[in-house]
Amino acid sequence: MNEKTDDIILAFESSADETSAAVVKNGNTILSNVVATQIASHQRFGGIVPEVASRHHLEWINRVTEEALTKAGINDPERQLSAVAATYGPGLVGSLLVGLMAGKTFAMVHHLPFIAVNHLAGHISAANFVKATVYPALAIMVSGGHTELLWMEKENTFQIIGTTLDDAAGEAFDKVGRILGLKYPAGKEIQEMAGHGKAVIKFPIAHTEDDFDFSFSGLKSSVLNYVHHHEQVSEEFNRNDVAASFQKAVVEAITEKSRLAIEKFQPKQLLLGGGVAANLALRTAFENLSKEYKIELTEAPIKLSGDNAAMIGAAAYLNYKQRLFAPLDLNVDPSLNFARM
Amino acid sequence: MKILAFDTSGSTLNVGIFDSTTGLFFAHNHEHDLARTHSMKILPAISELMRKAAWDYKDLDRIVVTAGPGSFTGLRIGATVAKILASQLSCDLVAVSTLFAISDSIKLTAGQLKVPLINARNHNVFAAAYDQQGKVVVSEKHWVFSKLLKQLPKNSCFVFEEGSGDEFKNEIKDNAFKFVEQKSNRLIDPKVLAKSALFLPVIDPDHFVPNYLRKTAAEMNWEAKHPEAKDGEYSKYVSEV
Ligand SMILES: [Zn+2]
Repeated sequence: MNEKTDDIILAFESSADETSAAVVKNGNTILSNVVATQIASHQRFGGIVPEVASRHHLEWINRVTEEALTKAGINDPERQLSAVAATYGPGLVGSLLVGLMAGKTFAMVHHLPFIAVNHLAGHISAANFVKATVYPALAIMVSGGHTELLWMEKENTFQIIGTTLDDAAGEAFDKVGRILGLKYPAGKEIQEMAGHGKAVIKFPIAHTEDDFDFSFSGLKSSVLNYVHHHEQVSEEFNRNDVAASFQKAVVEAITEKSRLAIEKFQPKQLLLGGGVAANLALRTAFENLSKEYKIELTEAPIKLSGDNAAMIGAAAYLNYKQRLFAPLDLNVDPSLNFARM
Repeated sequence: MKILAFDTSGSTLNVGIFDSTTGLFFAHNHEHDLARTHSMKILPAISELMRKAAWDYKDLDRIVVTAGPGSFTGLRIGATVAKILASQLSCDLVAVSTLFAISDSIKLTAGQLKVPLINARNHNVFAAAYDQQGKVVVSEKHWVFSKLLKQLPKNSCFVFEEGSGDEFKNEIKDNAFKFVEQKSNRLIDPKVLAKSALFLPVIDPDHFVPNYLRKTAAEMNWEAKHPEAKDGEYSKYVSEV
């Protein structure tokens, strides 16, 4: 018997507009992480067109898979790999289907167990590449599709403490980007403009009924009103100041809700992940929060903040340890989410 | 030659395995489903057939898949499975036009032209015409139905899934054409599909994409505004990071 000392997982991610395959060792070491992005395609339309996204995923799935295997030195998957994983939700149904079918087929043909991964658990698990998490932990997941405060009592358990009632944080960035005439996705450019501006405009932070929930659509509307008003009366305004003030409002909303959660639940660890976690103002705010409460913070590396399969491999490993395998008839679940606490 | 063939383009999932040397054949078809739920049924169906035949995946010589037209989501389910299987097994991949497979699966009176038809909504269709030897008479295309009627020779006979072509029946009769309705589970014969691996060309699985025969509305609008943009260069919009 060939005893495997390491557990190596091949993971797939295709929930939105990135096609990715990665090979991850023991849930914390990346052997390869290949990502093909479709941003240039969807920029033509000002946002993701789901049918176009699915077509691109299919065009790229084999190339991405083969490159991930080659880079990781996998030439005999059946012997070298312990399992195959894929994101099964949440996300766009047609996009998810390509990665899920690829993962299930790969597992079947090489007689390997299959692991179905929740995309949000993937974003949070990106922190495992930095260091092991101490529990209980409070995870903050901010991306184009999600804004969640999650409670992790122990490893691989997730409960929603708070979530967005309307737009996700990243979505708000993109919508404000459109108001300012920026290209999709607008997060990076808004961050850059904010660096050249001053947060002098008072945009309101919405107060939601439930203490821990978010709402960003009101903030977006007040940015829209501000810009429209100034344009209508042909009054000059500083676009960098708008960016800085908007960014400050988003960061404040997220950190304030997190502060409330820290005080109520007393976590031993903070985790920050998701595409918006690449925002430097947000990172700084959480670094300060971590110092203030003397709670260790693990941030997903900026390179692993956006969608990628390595984070899916990290999350899959937690399932692998518990032998949580999925059958070949598992379907995608576009609106998959965790339960409320 | 050991062949695995499957079709996920329509409402019935068709899977068959066929050994061209021994004649061994097993099939699985699952009716009354939405094309998108083929994602749940296809892999268990394949592994069950492999078990029945006592084959391992490594024994397969050729994978056959319907290339479209059909349900976009359904086509992608089959195409993903086919691409990963063929590349992981380093075996041959053959993609068969869904319309050709429908045409090839039915016997008609001598002399009739076969016109397989898939309803594409808004009185549009995916259709082509073949003679009895399988030669293309009218190429497959996304047609406005009335325009297709003008292209067809007299002895044409439409073939479509039962219940999917009711809106066309009057026009078909008015133009003195014929039609045959097939039950969903008989529209494509997995054995016929598998056998097409014996005479159709082998393709590269890494670059295979379905033949959707129709662009998305977003792309058509965009291209109308950007006539300078070159057609068919999808992949230039995707890059590795
Ligand atoms: Zn994501």
